[in-house]
Amino acid sequence: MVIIGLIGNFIEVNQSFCDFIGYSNQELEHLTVYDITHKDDVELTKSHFQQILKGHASNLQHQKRYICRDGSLKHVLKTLTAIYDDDGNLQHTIGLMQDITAIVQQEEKEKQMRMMIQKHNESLLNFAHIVSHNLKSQTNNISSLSQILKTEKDPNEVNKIIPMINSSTAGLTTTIEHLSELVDIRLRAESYNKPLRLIDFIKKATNNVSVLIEKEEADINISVSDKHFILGLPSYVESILLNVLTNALKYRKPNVKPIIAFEAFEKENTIELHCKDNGLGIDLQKHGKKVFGMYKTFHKHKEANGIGLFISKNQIEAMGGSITLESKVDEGSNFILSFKKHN
Amino acid sequence: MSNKTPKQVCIIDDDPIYIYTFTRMLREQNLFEDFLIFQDPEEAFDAIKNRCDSNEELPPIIFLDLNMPIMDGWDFLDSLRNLQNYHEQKVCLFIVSSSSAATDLEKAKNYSFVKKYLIKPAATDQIKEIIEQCA
Repeated sequence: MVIIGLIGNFIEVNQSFCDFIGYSNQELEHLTVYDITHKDDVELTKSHFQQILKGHASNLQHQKRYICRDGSLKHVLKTLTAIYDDDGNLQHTIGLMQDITAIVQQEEKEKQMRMMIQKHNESLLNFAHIVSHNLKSQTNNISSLSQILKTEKDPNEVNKIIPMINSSTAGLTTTIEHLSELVDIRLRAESYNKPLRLIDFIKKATNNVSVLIEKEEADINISVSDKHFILGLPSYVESILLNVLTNALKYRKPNVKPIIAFEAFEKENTIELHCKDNGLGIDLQKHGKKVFGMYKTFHKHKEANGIGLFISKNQIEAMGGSITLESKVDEGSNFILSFKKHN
Repeated sequence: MSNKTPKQVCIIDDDPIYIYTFTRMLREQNLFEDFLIFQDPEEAFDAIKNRCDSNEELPPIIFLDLNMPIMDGWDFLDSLRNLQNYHEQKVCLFIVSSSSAATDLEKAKNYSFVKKYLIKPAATDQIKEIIEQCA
């Protein structure tokens, strides 16, 4: 319980609040309620306090976060009650707090679980789609071609059909390989994550495609601190960065020098890596939903196979991260990779 | 060939092997004389649009695949929906897809100008039957 004065100062606090927040009675005398409120909740706290000051309400309840002395975050359900003197003038307010940190954390955990399940569901749907499309179309082709072969007498036609059967079986094998690779990704859990220095992996990716970079005469700008550590699986991070980088090189604009910039931003629990290019870009309004889908390609490009970004998305999600894309046709693309941060 | 048989057919599919087996089947049945084949739906749309713009006759029958890169079958249908002069000519458009997903079958119903949804591989008899209906 706390008694709060009209400027948000602490008039009186009980021992259990001191224990809860980690500050002593004396320390709190020099602080206001806003000093120990999470910055995103200051506005809400202020507006509720204003309503009481103006007499619009005499009793308000809200959920907010306090920052404890040790820097930890506590969620509370706070009831603020106005106390008036005999003449009806507001004297101070009394705040009653209920610690709901455990409940909120549990809710957040559940929310993350729900999101994970949703993602898994989406990838299962995608799976079903692939099974129905890619596997079916290849097997259909093989069976139609072998039917034709049964009665075909013309050796010229036979010579045309046999390579088609070969290419269909090869396609079938590749599809099955992709599928088993994806099952494997999903089986690997976040628990295998290790701290990795992000810059090392970016350098490795650029080294791996140095021939291509030279051929395309591309400029690669890296502004990533060597203090940025992420949590991930080395082989996944390698393949994702390689994929994003080759993507940027592959879909360069003809006659324009490719410029690719890697830039890292530190967030609360994540590190965001932006990979920005000045390439062809893609129409997200038209293709937005499909970019990370399996076997989706958007450029008339012989090397486009529509599997790379789908694998990358699955890999980064398996590590607890995410991948999104900002893009404009003729201006370029910006892949935003979000990794878990190692503290 | 009976007089009722439409002469030209348009096939839009990115899979060259399917095009080979499908056209072969149509030829063996003597169902068409002229094959207008597009592996790229964008090119197909441009060709149809050109004919519409210049008031030329459209192919009476179109077979359209769904799962294609860049512009897919749905994008193609969306573009057709808004194409002037297309709907005055009674074109018989069939979706021919290997997808038997309920969501795809349902979605196709939103396009009133799609005559029927066929699942690959479409049987010869089925094709003959639907072509007769269009003639």
